Amino acid sequence: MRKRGTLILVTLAVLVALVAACGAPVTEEPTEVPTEPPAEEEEDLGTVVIGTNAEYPPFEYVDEQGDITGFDVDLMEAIAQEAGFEYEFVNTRWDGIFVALASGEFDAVISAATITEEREEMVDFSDPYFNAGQRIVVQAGDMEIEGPEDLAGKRVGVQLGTTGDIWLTDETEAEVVRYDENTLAFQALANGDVDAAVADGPTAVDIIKANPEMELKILPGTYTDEQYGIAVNPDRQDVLEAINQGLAAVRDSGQYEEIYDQYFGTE
Amino acid sequence: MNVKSREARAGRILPFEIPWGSVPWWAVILAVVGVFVGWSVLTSEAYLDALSFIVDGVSLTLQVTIVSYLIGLVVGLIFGLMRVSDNPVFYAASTLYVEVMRGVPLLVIILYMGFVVTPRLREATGGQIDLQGVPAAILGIAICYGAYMAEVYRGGIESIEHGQMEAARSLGMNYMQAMRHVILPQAIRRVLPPLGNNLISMLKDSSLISVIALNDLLQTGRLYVSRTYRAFEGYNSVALLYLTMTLFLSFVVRIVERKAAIE
Repeated sequence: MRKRGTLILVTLAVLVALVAACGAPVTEEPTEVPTEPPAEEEEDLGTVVIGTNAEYPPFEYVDEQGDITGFDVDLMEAIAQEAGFEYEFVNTRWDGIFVALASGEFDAVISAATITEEREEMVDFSDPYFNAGQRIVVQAGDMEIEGPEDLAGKRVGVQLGTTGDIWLTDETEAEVVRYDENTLAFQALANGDVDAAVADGPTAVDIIKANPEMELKILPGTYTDEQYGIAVNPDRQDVLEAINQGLAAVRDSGQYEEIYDQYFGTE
Repeated sequence: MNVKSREARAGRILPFEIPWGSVPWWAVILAVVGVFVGWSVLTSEAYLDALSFIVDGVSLTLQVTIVSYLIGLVVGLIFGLMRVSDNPVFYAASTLYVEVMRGVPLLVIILYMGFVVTPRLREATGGQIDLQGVPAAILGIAICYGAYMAEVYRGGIESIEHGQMEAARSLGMNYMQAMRHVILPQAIRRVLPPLGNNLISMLKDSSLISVIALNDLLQTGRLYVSRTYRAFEGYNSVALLYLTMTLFLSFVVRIVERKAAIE
């Protein structure tokens, strides 16, 4: 009896080790993030395990100290504080992140994930928290172009084959000038070869930040929908509710704006 | 060693006589394949769709190729003559040009033309000279290929026996006259095949101009693929159109070579 017990234990241990070895990528490192004690807790969610692929700055990346940080991470911290739950981040690979989520390895995933119908079949998504849609960039001194209707007849640079290219071609009257890369379109704008450029918001902000001498500015509007959502394991409706409630509170309290400006402010 | 005729050599290599040896077999094979490909393309809705979209890029590709080839021929001749010149300034200047232009990738030259030279020139001249777009692309390709062509011309000129120059000079011609009436007419015949080669590789290299956002043949093909997600139809149509154009250009080059040959 006792012997068999040991045998089962050893077998189990080996199995667990095997599963861990197969399933866990080398980069996996749980990061404890100290959170405030739950403020007004109705039900205990336990520690919510949140998966992310920290290789996509500025949304999520590993900083010089080895900590996972970024827009998504700060936003999650604020949401957890508002909704009053504890959580830990797990840095994992992007491939199969939704399969891992659906299979219960994580309770939620925040990783600059666009909400798509395909993914919604597998997991649930929170309310959108970021629109990475197409935005218009013009020279800093340009007062003429204020929105898509002002692009009519103007030369507008864009990267060939992107959502921005399709949006410009189908939805505006602009003369579309197609470059191989976003950076070249922005350089052409700085040189005055084109009157405006179009790219997705995060990329546009990154390029403008990296090239302050180009003297470009980004217009406030976002013209296509590429909404990022927090993916939640369909079995954890409680977590989904808590996240949505927390997200709404973060938006209401103005914390969202603060975090946004910290990562995407061009001023 | 006795020089064998083409037929005799062919007879030696192959253990049998080629029937109708004078028939250009490569052309026959190409024509048969061409008919087959043409038939399958014309009977396929998807290919007709792709071709009719992509064919728009042909005119820009041809325009850029032909104009930059003509400029390259002239630039190459000038620098080729400078490369064989005894004047140390000419020699140094042309060597610098050739080595720099051959050493920098054409893609980078076109980028410089589009993103550095054009805006600077526009600023310097107050908008009087604006190369933006096609002129920048043409100049970029022309000055790059000019360097290769200069070397082709130099090779041709140096292949003419030195005695001819001396003979011409002793007849009272000056250096330029001897070059123009004696050396160059012979040299140019010898460099026609490599110059034809340059024309064809230039046609294909002209696809690099898409880096300054020009809708040439390849760019139009990529646009088609990105719109329809039909990669095979898109790139096959691009290949077919390029092949048709290079075959046509080879044909022209052959005619020129034949016309220039001494009977």
